[in-house]
Amino acid sequence: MDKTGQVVLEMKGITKSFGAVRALGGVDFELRRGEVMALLGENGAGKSTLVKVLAGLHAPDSGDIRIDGKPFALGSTKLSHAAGIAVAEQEISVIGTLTAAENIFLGGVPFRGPWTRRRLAARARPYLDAVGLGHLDPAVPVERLAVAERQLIEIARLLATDARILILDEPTAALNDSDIEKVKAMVRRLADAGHSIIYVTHRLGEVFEIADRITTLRGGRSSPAVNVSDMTLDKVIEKMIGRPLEEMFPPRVSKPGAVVLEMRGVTSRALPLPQDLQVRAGEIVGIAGQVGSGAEALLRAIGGADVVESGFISVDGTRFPPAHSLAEAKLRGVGYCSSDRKLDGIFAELPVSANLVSPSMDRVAPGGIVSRRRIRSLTAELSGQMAIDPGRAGYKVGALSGGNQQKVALGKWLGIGPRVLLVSEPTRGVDVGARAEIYGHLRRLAEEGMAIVFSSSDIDEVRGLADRVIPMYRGRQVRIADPDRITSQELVRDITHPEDEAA
Amino acid sequence: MDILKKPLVQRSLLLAAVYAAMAVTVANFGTSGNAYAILESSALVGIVAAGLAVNMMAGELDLSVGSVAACAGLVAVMMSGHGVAVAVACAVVPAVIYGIAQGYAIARLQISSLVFTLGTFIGMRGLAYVISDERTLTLALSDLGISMALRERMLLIFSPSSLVMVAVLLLAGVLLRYTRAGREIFAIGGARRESRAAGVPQTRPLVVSFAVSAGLAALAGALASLKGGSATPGGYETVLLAAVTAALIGGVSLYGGRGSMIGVLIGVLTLQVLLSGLQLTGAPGWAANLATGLILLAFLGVDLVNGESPVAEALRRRSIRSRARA
Amino acid sequence: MSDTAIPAGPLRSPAAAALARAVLAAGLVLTLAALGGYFNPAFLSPENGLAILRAAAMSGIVAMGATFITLSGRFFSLALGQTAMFAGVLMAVLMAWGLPFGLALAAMLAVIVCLGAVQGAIISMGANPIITTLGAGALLAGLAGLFTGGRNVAIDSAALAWIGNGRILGVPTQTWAFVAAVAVAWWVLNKTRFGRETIFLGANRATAGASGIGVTKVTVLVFVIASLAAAMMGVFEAAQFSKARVAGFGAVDFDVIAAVLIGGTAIQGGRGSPLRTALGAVFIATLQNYMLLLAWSSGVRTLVTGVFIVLIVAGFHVAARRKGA
Repeated sequence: MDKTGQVVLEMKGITKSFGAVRALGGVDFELRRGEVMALLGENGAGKSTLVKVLAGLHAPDSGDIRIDGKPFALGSTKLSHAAGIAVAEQEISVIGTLTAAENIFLGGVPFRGPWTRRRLAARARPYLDAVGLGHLDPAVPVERLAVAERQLIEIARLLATDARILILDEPTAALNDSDIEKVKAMVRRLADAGHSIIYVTHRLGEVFEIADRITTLRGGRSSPAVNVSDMTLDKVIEKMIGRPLEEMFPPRVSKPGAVVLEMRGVTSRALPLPQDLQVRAGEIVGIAGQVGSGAEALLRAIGGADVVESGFISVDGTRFPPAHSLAEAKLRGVGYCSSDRKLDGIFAELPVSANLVSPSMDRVAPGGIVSRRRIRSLTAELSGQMAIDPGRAGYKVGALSGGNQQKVALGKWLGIGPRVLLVSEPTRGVDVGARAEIYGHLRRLAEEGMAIVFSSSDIDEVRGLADRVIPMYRGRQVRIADPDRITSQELVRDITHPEDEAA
Repeated sequence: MDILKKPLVQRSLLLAAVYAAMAVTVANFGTSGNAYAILESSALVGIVAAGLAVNMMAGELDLSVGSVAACAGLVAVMMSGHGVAVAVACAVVPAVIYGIAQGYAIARLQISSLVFTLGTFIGMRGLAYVISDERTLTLALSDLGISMALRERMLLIFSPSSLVMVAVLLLAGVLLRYTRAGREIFAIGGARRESRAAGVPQTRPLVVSFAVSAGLAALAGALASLKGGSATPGGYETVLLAAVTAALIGGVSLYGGRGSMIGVLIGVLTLQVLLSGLQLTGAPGWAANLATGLILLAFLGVDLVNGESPVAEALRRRSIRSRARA
Repeated sequence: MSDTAIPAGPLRSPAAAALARAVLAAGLVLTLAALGGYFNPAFLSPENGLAILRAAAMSGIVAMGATFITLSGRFFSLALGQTAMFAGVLMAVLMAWGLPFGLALAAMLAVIVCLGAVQGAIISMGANPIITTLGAGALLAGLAGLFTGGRNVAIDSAALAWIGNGRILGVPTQTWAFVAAVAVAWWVLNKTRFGRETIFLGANRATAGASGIGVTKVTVLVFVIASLAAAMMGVFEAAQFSKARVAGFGAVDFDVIAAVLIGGTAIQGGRGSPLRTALGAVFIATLQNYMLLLAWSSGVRTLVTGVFIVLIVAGFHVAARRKGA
């Protein structure tokens, strides 16, 4: 590998704050020609912000940026484009109703003359070939393609911009193994062809296969890039977390009580295979899995967000009606927090108190008439339980930090006296400091007799918090494991390619 | 039988079926003279619907098209002394400029187009009253030839104004399908977030779509007023309803990103065939309202049950429950 | 990975912000009044004040109902004018058949409740509210034509005549009804569970659904309330002229929406209040009255109203985004 490639991108002392939150606090970054640089860090470490600065979506507050050794001011997508930087964001950026070829040329790639099927196909073909989609009809609407193919089309679009610096933000997050191999092979090929690639990922295993160097971010600060050959998995994890993992998580108190939640043979559209699960009072079950693995779908089915098509679910021995709704699950003491807090977890524009009482209107409005006194007392009760600053009861939730938002999203369920709490990605968008607090709350709630099920793509979170770990892969529960008897590597393998075990 | 599953084919068949039903049940319906009349009466709604469809494909809705058409009709009648071309140009050019300004404001403010165009809807209606001094304007006797010329029957069933409609729809269809600007409109309409992430400019397609909707509304209003020989400041109040209905029948989605101009043509014709049939049977004026409202709600229902809407989910829950009970 | 940094917005207390907005709106009305009085003393006379309130009353009553639709995040209804017309026509037709006033009123209200409920149900299933109500409005216009053959229907009822033209303590009945409607709307929104749930729905429909709030129930109810408010206007209109007219309601929807928007209720829902809508209605009536005293033509008045709506709505929108981002 060309370790002596010249430096194409150099960043020094980059800072970026959002209001009072400092997302980047002095990041140095260097990228050479023809190399794959892995960019690693925990949730909240500043990876997304750094990527957005490079993409021109955020202007940095301070710091120097050099492209090919010359000072360069980033700050708009146009400037980033001029610098030869192109980003495939995690967010899906292909348009389903348009064709594969049209998607490639849509985002600013020059294409003069009429956009006829034949001319588009001719121009798109080399880019499709380059990403391994040579077999594809360029005129097929993207909505008919598989997720992996869409991902590859996004990368083909980057190639069409003639970018020299490609940023791939978790390109494999939603892919299965053979597709992951395709993407990895393609990344390597692009680097060997002289592109410089910044590879953002959660999957540490991948890093050792395709990256040349590693830059880690922690709490908005960078540590100098190191060669992959000088690193081990453990060293990388230590660099990312910066302290022993155990301190994050509350100790387990294993004295589970009676079975609270039971499901048998449950299927839904997202879960074609029948699912069984038993959770006892006082127990925290962690479902590990990536996007599309079925981990979140399992929670959605229990909570009533997805329609349960067959099988049954019961809480404390009482069966749910078939195809139960969210409201029916709530009636039986199930609280469900989705992974996208902003989408359906909080009312960002409403004050903390309104958010906290929202599922408990029966309690604060007996007979349909709202009682201010009851709202105040329930707000005080729930903020007390979740350690939310009572002085902020009147503030809009959208203005709070991610950690406080999550406490509101969890705490609102305590008003219904829940038996089961379902939490998807409990610490997404929560900064590192507040995470331990969330874990502590969940453990305490379990000890008070609740049955808690959470799903997460964060391996360490699942191992650290859960009493029982269930890795899921393609809608199948791979096994039920004791968190102390399964290593991170085994768990990663379980949720990425469990077939290898059988082989 | 795959061809029968194509939405456009289905909608064409619907049009054919409606036409056939009318032709069998209503006297004198299936004549070429009536076909001419249907096309002739489609021109106004068809041209407005073409513009509005572009707007809907971009995921927006311009409520002000009726007011713009009224203004344009007045201007065209005032300018009729200078010939058709000048009169229409005087009506359309300011409308396009207005549309550009409106689209730009909506894009930059990132405001809901429904809210913004509601204000311009009222404002433009006021403008119509101002420029007409609250009177109905009529063509000078010497210009009545324009009115005759625009509705002259040609090519068996066409007239100049219905030919303009066909031309507008074809041209809009080609531009939407085969240009970057057209594809961008589809992109921001069907997937606003994804398109932003893909680097599709957000302002330009919106400006284009509002310029097109205003410009075509003005063209339709100018032609219809010249053809009718008069323009009133309160005119074209119902054209929005008819145009949206036609676009929905034609398969343009209210949620953006879907639809074609051929579909719009089919939608307009279906609507007009129905209304013309009603008229020929001697139904009173309010029957048209009733029919349009019913059709609109029916097609809204079709859109709902087909898509990933709460209806579809509610129906699924219901069916699973009844199966479980059995 | 999604370390979306939360922008720390200015943590202003909501009560203070609401107060500031109310003061701003009241200030605007007072400034307009002062200006009007300066240029034309007749503008500030008590009779003119009553005239303004009476003018604001009709669209204001409907706007109280419409505020619920907007607050619940369903934008607005384009069927309210037609609903008002249909309500008047239906009641007149029933009375022409020989039903006494009370019975006709009750039967009409029952029908109106059903109409609102059906619209709400369709919309709660995911249909676009604008288009649904546009279609419903056309349907109602057609039905009114069906019942009347397109002719106005005369009403002969002393009770109705009093409702239309009576005064209590020298103040027209319409104005009393407007004040009552404002009070009821305020109470329902602030003091009832349904009111809170309306706000939840408008603030974030997905979160409301996930919190187990009955999205369908609330949506149906807001459209029922709006339809009833429109029916109230229809009754007053029919009573005032002792006949139910089948035309002339075209501008109602837009007056109503203008009042809601100028009052500053957010079109995305979740923010706003009936009190502010009432201020909006009074503001528009004041503006119209003022322009009338200046002898401006109705075209100019409409134009100015439209421009005001665009400016105020855009201003509210920009201000809200400043605060949010």
